Amino acid sequence: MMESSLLLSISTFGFLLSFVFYLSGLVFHRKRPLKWGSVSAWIVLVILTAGIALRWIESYQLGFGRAPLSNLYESLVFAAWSIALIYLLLELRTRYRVLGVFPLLFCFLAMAYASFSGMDSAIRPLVPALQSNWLIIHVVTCFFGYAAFTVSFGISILYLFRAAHKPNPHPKGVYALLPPLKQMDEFNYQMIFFGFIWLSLGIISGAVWANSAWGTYWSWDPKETWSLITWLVYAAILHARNIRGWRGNRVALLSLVGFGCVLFTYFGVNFLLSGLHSYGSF
Amino acid sequence: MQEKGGLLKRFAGTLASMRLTLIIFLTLAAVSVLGTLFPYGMTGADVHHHYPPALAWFIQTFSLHDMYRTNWFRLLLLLLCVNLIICTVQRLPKTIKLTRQRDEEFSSDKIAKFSQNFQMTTAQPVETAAASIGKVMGAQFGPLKTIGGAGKFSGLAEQGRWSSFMVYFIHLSVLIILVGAIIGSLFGFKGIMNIIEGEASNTVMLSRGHERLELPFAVRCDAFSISYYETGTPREYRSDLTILKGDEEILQTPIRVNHPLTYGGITFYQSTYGSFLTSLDLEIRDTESGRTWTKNMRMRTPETLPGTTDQIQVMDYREDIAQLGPIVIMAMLREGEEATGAYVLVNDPDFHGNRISNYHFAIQEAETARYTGLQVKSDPGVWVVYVGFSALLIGIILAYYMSHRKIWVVAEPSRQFPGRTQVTLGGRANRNPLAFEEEFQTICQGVEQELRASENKDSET
Ligand code: HEM
Repeated sequence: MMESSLLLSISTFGFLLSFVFYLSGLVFHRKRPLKWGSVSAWIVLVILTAGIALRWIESYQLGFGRAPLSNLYESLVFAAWSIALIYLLLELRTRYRVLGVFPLLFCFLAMAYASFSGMDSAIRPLVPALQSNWLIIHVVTCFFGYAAFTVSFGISILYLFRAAHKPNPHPKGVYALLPPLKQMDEFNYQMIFFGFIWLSLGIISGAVWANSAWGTYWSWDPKETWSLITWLVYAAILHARNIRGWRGNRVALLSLVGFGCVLFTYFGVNFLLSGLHSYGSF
Repeated sequence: MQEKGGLLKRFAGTLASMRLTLIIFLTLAAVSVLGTLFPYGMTGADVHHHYPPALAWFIQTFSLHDMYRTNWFRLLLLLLCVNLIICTVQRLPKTIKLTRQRDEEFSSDKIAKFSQNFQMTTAQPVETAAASIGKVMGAQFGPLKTIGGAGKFSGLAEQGRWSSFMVYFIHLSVLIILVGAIIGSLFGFKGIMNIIEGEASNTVMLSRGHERLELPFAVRCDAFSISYYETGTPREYRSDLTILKGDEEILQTPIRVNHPLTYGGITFYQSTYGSFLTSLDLEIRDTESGRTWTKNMRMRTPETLPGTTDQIQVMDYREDIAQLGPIVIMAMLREGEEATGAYVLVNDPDFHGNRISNYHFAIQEAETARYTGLQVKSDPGVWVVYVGFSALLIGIILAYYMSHRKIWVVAEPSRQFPGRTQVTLGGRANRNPLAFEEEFQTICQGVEQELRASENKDSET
């Protein structure tokens, strides 16, 4: 019974450590801490994967096996997992490590919020409305989208800071290790498009699920509506960039707006508005 | 005339413009924000009850509490479609022309300035070098077409020429989804059926406009049940249904949440349940005079207590309130006074709160019937919507991964090193430059290896 929660606690501190490595690499423009950050993030990702898997197994031992994706606590843990995974994959591709500061910060914050805010972390059985395989597909796709947007948010912040100090960074300055602006813009676009795919999958899987469970694929439930708003904002970014040729600052700023929508879709709707998705009721 | 043509053109231009698209996207987002602030589905009276007058006026004027069904919201969606269609009609011919374009020949100086480029010299003569490069390109990228010559070799290979059509596919799928939604709202219906255990019904109460709909068959609820986990949270809501045509039992099946039944294009979903009172045996005691009466009561049917002018009435029945078990809501009307009421516990006849004024109520027997609440839905447009969904997903994923990549190759006698051949490669991709860079570099490495290898072979012989 103890094991999964232990692994999750280790992951929380692991993410903090990894974030500190990334941050000191950026601030002191040293490559070595960045490497430690990266290595520790991979290790934590493995531990967290094991933790989530164990929690899944434990739910079977409790007699009602279900995927660990069904309340605020579990979704925060899964959010941290997806952000770490998607960021590390980006890092593998781009071979730039400095971009990890914000993603790892958010991994830590998500885990810390899940662990320390006193929310219910017990493994409970699913209420009838959530007993469906669509739950897994829907949650995973949505969170991959959110995670990609989180990474894009991190890139955008670094972009805006870096762009405010043009043209050439001091070779020993904070921005020395950042990729050139044009590349950051490109990475940002890739992440936004990638997130857009997953969010589309998430919204569509949610619609198909709703149709098979309640007979309406779209009911303007606040969570649904907010995910559509988020989707529209990112669609606007893609179009502005692709057709009107927006680059750099404007795209980065819009990505911040998009991320604000993600946060509101995830937290705001649960806390401020009522609806089907307010974890746990129904 | 010219003026008019110019205006029309400008109008069409606005309708086709990307600026309008962005404005519509952001407006849709903004009004949806408003829509989520006010609970969807409130009635006009609710709005006035909940908000101060000025705000209530604003909400009502723009129907913000019921926004998604208003004409201005539909107009916005229509505008998006028009924008999309006109934009497509304007761009499609250009895209077709672009993909049909004759391939241009570039000088090596120009190619060397492309975002991806590579240059080397080799001892191989022009034709052999070109053949070697063609071999590598053929294996790793795509067939190399000759597009020019005369003393030199000029070639081009390309991939993903059709990817520029992907956006049309995406946009078409958006239109398909909207068409499906329109079909659903025109030809479908949605409503509820409350069926008492053991009884059958063919009447659907439509959620729109208090109308009823008679189905061509009846649905009988044979049983309704709830099962619980050990912790007490519900595990399953289940109704055993039978479809009846006249007296004939067509189909018998249980439904549960997440597991509906579809029959004749109509789908039944487990939605709610409840119970109501069919009859009640009530003992009434006047605590002042000590007289008692027993009465059989029916819902909402007033009874006068003999010897008085006081009327009592059963107002409502609730299955469970605050874990006190089932309760009956009673009301009493006495001449010259306002009506008063009380909650009467069914399972606890001596409860001190079971009273109104000088009357104490004890329930001797409460007969209830349970009903299952089914959501009933028919949506002939849903398959169109699903086709649109699939197309949208396929389209976006392909648009992300596909790009139009071109690699130009020039092999010509070197100006710097007489007797040698200069090889120049230049590449362009319309998206995903990172992936293309990797691809391009692998190809260049391959080309270099191939040319060096054949040089060595030559020098050995
Ligand atoms: C909800 C509706 C829409 C969706 C989901 C959508 C989706 C997309 C996507 C995913 C792309 C590719 C973006 C990229 O390559 O970065 C795209 C490109 C484009 N969209 Fe849309 N779009 C929508 C509405 C519109 C509208 C209303 C217009 C009308 C003007 C439009 C015009 C374009 C154009 C011109 C392109 C670029 C084509 C090119 O790159 O050659 N879109 N759209």
